[in-house]
Amino acid sequence: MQSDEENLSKLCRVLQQHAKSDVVVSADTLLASDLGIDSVQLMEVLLEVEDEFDISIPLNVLPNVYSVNDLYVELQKLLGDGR
Amino acid sequence: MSLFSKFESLAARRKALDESGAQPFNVVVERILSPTEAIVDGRQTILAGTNNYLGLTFHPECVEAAREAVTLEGTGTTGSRMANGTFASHVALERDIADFFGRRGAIVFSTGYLANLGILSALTDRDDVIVIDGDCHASIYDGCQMSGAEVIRFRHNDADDLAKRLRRLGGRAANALIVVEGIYSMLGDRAPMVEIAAVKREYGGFLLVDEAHSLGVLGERGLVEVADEHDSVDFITGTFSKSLGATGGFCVSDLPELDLIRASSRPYVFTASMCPSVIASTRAALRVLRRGPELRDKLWGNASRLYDRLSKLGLKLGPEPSPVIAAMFASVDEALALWTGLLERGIYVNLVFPPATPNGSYLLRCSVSAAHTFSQIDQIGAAFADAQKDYATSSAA
Repeated sequence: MQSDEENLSKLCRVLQQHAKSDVVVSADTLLASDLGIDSVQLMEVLLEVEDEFDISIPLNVLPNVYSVNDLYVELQKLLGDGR
Repeated sequence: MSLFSKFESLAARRKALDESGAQPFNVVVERILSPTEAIVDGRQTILAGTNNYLGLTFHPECVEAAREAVTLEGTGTTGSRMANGTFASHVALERDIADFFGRRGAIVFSTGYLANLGILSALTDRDDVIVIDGDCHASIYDGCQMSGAEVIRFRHNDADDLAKRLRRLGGRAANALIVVEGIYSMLGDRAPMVEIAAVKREYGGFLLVDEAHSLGVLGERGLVEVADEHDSVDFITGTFSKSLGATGGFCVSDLPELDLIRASSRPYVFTASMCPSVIASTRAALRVLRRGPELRDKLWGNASRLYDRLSKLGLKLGPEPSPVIAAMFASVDEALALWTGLLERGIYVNLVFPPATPNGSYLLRCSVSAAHTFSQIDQIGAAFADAQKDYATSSAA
């Protein structure tokens, strides 16, 4: 299992590939406004995040996910869950 | 922050549309003339965006059945199915629809939207998981949300991705509810039913197929029938508002527990039931549909003809010919200009904006009817060509 730090770096790396602005993605980055992508594009990016970590992110959690850190917290829960 | 501040971005988009002169979401059918023609904006218009697949809205048997029912039973039931709103005709329609699908039982809802909302919200709760195709209709997303279940989406029409999601669920997969559609409403493509059913058999769970756009279009009963997957599918939902030309929705199943859903389904309990005239026309339309494949053959002839015409214009279309034919555009200006150009030429199609569309594209969505003549189909194709030329000329200027 990868460390928490490695997971956050990996998440940032995946998101960085899709950023349409010149933002450097970090835990504080806001997913929609800072990455410069719309909600439809964000859903596509999440599919890639899911594959990268071999998890499925339930749609139910997304209304409370605004930042990379919010997403990372959910991701850690899912990885801990074995899903 | 005011109560209405959430509408600010919508208001801005609406203002931009108003300034362009187009009113794509406020089209008024001033007078309906036939299943395929109406007066719109004072102009005789061919309707190519109505989902009236078999063209039954003016069928004499359906009209007569509705007329007789309204005379004998009145204009409405004024009540819920659970109270005073179950007439003998509701029970008869449930028998008809169960028999039509060869299933043990049926529940009829007041609309197709409510059928998905009612089944999903009652069947699952916070302890369950629903796995849906990413391109599923809003009624499915809303039903999932209302249920409180964990909702996971898989890549559109990708059975391998579905398998991956079920694998990740481990033991929970055996009780998961998988949801797909017979024909997807935006691009007209169909689910890979054989592959989806194989995944379901491998991992377990239950399979629900929404045949809203495929009932009477693919075979008599939809995709499950043509894919020969009756035994793999646990629930079929659908609507009477498209190929049967009325309103209302349904769910059929062989599972004896279906009947328990009635009392648990808020969208079934807390709304007025279908009115008698609508039930009567639906039952008549079902009889017409079962009489033979002629209307379906006519529909597919028209669909192939229009798909071919639009392909030859170089438009980017959905992946397969279907009675739903969508031209996709990356630019809102182009989509809007073509939609306006079509309406000015007496052709109505649907204009659909993201996020209601797959891949964030702008769609000119046509739906073809068995009631269209070849001449009308050719007029639709010609209008697309002319509107496309006009746009090319104006954008080059």
